[in-house]
Amino acid sequence: MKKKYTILIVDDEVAILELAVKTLRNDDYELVTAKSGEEGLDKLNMVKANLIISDQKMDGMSGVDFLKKAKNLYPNLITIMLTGYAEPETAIKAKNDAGVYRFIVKPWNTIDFRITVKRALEMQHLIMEKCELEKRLEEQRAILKEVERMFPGLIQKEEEALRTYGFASDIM
Amino acid sequence: MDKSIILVVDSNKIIIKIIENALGEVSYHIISAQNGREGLNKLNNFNVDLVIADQALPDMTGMEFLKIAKNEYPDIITIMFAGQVDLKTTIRAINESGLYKFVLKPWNAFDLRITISRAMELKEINIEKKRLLGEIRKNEALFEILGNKYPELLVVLNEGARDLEIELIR
Repeated sequence: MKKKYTILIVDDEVAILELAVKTLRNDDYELVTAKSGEEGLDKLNMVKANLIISDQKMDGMSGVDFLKKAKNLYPNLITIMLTGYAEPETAIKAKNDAGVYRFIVKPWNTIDFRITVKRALEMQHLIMEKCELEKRLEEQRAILKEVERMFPGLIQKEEEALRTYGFASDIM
Repeated sequence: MDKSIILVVDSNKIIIKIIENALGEVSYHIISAQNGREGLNKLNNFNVDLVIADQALPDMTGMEFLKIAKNEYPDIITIMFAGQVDLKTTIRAINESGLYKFVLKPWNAFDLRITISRAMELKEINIEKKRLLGEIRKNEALFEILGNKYPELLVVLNEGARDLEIELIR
């Protein structure tokens, strides 16, 4: 069965890449790896990723630049940055400029890493669902507008009837 | 908009002070309690959005406290400070008690602030989703009435009849 979420992991250190894969391999994710930001962008072009985990310090493109580019190309992506130690300045910049969702400090705690990823994916899922609902509502509004155009005043009249009829909007 | 309310439960007054310093300036209203019983009392009296509890409280464990909190107030976000965590307890806490996250000690202010703001965002997007879904359901009910009463509208309305299956997850 196709896995629900795809995660792209990017680091120029193979040992870290392997460790990240090992940390997440028991969770039900499709894991894709890349050894540089450039390769990461190529991979994004080929697979539909939900989440990127990228190191900050890499040869070539920096983690911030990579995540910024990725986020520009795929705005619904969620991004997590690996940092060597608590680097507030880099982190603040990454959060503000590149919209980084979370930071994981190396060396990481395995459980904490997995929960952070789980929560980030949960957020990504909610964002997608919200987009879907907004699209749906827009479609409905277009229809209502069309009905209104055909029969002016009809919707208002029926809406009032609906209210008296007692539709509670908070019923799921 | 009103400031979000965060309840901090820790037996150590100094820790509470440090957390207040780390978060207070970031537009949260912070209240505190030094044990589980006092914490539950505060939850009863304030409209708390998020609660952070230490792993060890004088009268119960942090997990017990957060589990009760989540049971009584399902929309609340729960976070626990922990010295160390084991896999089994963690998975149970996340799956069965709806724990949002552990914050491992020693924590830093930047990370704590991100954890809390991301947790609040999650809560907000859930609320927004419910609101959208409510409006969609209301329109669906309206469409149904319109369709029954005015069959000539069915062609227009049917474009909106596609079923929507969105599961409200936490």
